[in-house]
Amino acid sequence: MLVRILVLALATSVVAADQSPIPRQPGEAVEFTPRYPLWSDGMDKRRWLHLPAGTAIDKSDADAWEFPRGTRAWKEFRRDGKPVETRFIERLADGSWRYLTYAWNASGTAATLAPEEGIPERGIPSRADCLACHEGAPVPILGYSAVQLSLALPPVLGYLHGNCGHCHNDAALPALELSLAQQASDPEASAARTYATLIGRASRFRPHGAANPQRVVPGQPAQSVLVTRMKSNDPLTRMPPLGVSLVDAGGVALISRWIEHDLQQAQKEAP
Amino acid sequence: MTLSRRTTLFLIITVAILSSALAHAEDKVARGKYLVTTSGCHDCHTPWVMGPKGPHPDMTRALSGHPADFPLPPAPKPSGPWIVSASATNTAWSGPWGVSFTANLTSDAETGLGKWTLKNFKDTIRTGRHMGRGREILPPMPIPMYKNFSDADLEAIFAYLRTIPPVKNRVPEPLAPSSSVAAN
Repeated sequence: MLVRILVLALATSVVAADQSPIPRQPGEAVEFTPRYPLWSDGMDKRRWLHLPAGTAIDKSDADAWEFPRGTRAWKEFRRDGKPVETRFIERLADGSWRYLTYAWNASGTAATLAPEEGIPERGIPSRADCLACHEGAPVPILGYSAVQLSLALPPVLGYLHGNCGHCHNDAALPALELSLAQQASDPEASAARTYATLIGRASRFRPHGAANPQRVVPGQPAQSVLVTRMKSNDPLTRMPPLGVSLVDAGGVALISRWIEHDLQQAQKEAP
Repeated sequence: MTLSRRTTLFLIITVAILSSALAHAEDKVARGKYLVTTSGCHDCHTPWVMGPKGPHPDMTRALSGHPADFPLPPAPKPSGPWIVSASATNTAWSGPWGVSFTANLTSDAETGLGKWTLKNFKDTIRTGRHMGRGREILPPMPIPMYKNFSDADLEAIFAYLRTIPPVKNRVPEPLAPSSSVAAN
């Protein structure tokens, strides 16, 4: 009951009189755009961050910014010019993070809190799904970090960081030995680790009929499991495993071009 | 002399703490074994073979999942109210979700849980997703029931699974419902 009251109170505070969960007052929240955005079925997205008055982010660890208690972040998803979903993260007084999702009505004029289990038929994630991605990274706010705001990366590394690195990093999934996250504190080392754990490495996931599949086979995107999983429409094969239902054709093209041309060229030029 | 007494006392306490920790670890593994053997894990994760008294789990391959060397033709199409088929090993299941193959739970580093962390294991059971983050765990794995295990019980189960001798067996990936290919 208490939780219900808290959720209602929060919903009331977030959903303003015009039924918009997005803060409207200038200065209340800053809008930002990550350099390496997550593919979300081609939807347009806008993001805002709010810090309590008088507080600041502790950036002493470039790869794990410490957000103050009371930090709030919103991400709004729009399709055909209308909002369809707004996701919300808040850092609570005890340091934990709360995740909520609001579903907009068909006309895009009002939003209501989605239930704990999400709304699968609309692609709206459950609370557990929120944790699956956001709690795999050092900090749950994924788009507001030193890498995402200011680090110039090769496009392939940026794409992999923004779309895969929050789960595929050595802290979240050490058993896989696949690190696709980049680090602002030592970009060269994290890039080298990404290449080393991708190129020519045996794939744990074995497509049926593949004898010795590898994550990335230089020159051969069709033989590279990375591409196979990005291109798949099968939920049991597709990567990322949640939050998407449509293949990111641009992302597939980027990664395929890198494997087919850049890596093959690098191999030819290697001594 | 005083120092000697102190040293003796220190040694006694150290031994007592170590003994207690060891006993606790043994208790945890024993609890894990109890849970694994009473919660039906062997029913699906240990391949079954036919014996004189009927099918039984082959404990020489305990908890090693669907055998990769047991090729299967495409599963029969569901007919009427009969919507689920199981292989003779009880390790491959076909239903509306596609075809699922039970996982290798032994401590093998490459094909089992050898490199998994306790958190990976707990996240898997709690969320019903592979390692808590990947694809969904498919039926008939009873995630809706097992997700209610206490933390202590999941820790005990994982501690026991770490003691299972490694069996190298690379279980095939699940097949989508629309797939008609054979399992291997």
